[in-house]
Amino acid sequence: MLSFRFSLINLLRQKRRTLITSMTLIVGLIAVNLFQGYQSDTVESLAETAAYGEMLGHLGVMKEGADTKGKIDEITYMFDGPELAKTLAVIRQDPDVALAAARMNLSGLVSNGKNSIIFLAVAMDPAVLQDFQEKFDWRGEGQPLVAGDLTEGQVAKGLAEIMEVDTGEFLTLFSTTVKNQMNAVDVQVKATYPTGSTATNDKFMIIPLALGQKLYRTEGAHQISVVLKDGVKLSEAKARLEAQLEQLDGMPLEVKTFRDMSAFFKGVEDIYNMIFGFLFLIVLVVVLMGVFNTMTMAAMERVREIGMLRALGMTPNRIRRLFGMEGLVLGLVAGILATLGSAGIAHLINISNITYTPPGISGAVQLYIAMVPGKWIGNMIFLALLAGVVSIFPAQVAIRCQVVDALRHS
Amino acid sequence: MIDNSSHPRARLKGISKSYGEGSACQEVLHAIDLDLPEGSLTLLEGPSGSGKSTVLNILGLLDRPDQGEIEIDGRIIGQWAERKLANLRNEEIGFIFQSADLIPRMTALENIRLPLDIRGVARKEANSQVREILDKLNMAELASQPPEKLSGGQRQRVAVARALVTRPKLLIADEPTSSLDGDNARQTASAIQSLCHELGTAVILATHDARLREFADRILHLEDGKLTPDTVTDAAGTA
Ligand SMILES: Nc1ncnc2c1ncn2[C@@H]1O[C@H](COP(=O)(O)OP(=O)(O)OP(=O)(O)O)[C@@H](O)[C@H]1O
Ligand SMILES: [Mg+2]
Repeated sequence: MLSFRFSLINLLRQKRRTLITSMTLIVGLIAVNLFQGYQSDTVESLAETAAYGEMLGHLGVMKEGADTKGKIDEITYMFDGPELAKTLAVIRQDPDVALAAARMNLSGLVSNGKNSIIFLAVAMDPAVLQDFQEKFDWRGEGQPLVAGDLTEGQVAKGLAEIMEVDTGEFLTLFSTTVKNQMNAVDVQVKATYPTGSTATNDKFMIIPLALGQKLYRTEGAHQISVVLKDGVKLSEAKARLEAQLEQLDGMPLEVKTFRDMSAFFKGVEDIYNMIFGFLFLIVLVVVLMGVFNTMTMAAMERVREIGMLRALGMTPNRIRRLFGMEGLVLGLVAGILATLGSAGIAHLINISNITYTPPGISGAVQLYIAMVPGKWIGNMIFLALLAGVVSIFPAQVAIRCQVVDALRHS
Repeated sequence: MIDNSSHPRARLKGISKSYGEGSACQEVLHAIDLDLPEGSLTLLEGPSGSGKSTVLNILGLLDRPDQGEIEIDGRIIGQWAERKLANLRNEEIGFIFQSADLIPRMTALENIRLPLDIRGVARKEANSQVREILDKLNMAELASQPPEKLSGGQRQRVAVARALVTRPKLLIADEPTSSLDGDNARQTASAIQSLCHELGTAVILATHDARLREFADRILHLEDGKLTPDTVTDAAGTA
């Protein structure tokens, strides 16, 4: 192909300039790629945290309005015992569902006999909790809840400090039942652990479902956490589950993803997306200005040569294509190098085990760059195409004039 | 004199061209008429600045006249779009300039093939046409050389090959030999002459070089914006 041949010749003509422009492109693209890999890993692990650490599962099934009106009228928007059993049965028939478990979101006062303070608790089947918690390194004192536990609880480290309790000691939980009467249950502190978020570290607790149900005097729960099998697509599974749940007449339900349920996850994801967009924009502007500048210089130097090509019968569009192709080739070659470079640097960062402590997180995290080849190749192609497009404009200097004026250029 | 049976390959009628504006305006060509017949070599002489290049550029559709009509192979060129002009140049006109203006790093073969590539001729077919013209010019051994490795005379002969590989109806040569020494100048002019006779190309060649007169079928003189036949040598040209 003629324009490809020309691209190579012309790019090699000014090696230094081509090298410098390529470097801008490569450095810019690597910065974008690394950030994207970092973002991808962070969001990925946040998703894990939301699904398992926050015990939300991938999907949550609740009565319609539970998230809004249910905040005031808690009882109406809870499943009662029979409703819970029926709903669980439907969900468990879905072949994509790995696990479905009832979950209670409790609140009330916790007391050590001397003082009391507000607590929040999640109550779930300890067998499921065990499954969830085994996905993370245990960082607390004592042992996390396991199948069979009935009256033991895991208490957030901050809350345990305020209540001045150690493992093995007891706390009393006070709350109102579904019939609006006061009730209290004792819980033995089996473990204290950092929740990972300063917002919950001083009030959070995890207890067995049975204990929660005893406190509220119910057989029901607030919602059902659904864990999907590996490789199942979130949006598709959600749609299918919604359809299947329609068969439960007279009980309008809604299905939410962990993205919707975890405000923290959503917030962090939004911020990352914004930072990424901003970074990409800056890199794009810098890189494209570099390419434009290079191609403008190239066009100025080549006015006479282009005059010759026009004399030989090359049409203006063909000449524009010549320049576009040159920018595209430059962008692609630099892009391929940048993509390989990104993989290399990401690997180096990952094996050198750098750790840092992000805000709002009560523990060090490893700086990890996920390899996202699909996205990286997308970035490369996008940038190369734009490099091609901006390269078309400088050709105008040699096209606008009469051929004879182009030929007179030296 | 000119062979009357051949119709003109190119024709200028009442062409005028000025440069500059207002008091600085200078009329270079004043109502020029010119016919270029098939298979004949016309030499265009005239003092420096007389407008030889201007005539050639207008004839080659590289520049537009202020007034007058250009006719190439029976077609009248009006206010054609650049794309249409480019296609016509590619199809029917060959150019040789003072400097060869070859594309660096491309081999002689690739340089000569350029107009065929632009035309969209298939690679194999184009290569064989290039080889044919290289053979005619006795420079087959230069095919794989880039211009950087060629002498001035060789480069200019590559430019001749590039101009003629498309078998143009009209060849425009603006001082094609002025950067060459005597021998190279004669070789180049001779190559142009023999190819144009063989292909039936109408050639117009602007030069200061009196040695090229022997190759001419006709000599024209340009001065003060007007074109006149060269009375002294006109008869010799048809010998
Ligand atoms: N683009 C231009 N702008 C202004 N004046 C021009 C331009 N091109 C040519 N001229 C003027 O027109 C006149 C004719 O120029 P042209 O190049 O056609 O002469 P020429 O006969 O080819 O000269 P030479 O023998 O030196 O090549 C000259 O006086 C030149 O200065
Ligand atoms: Mg001239």
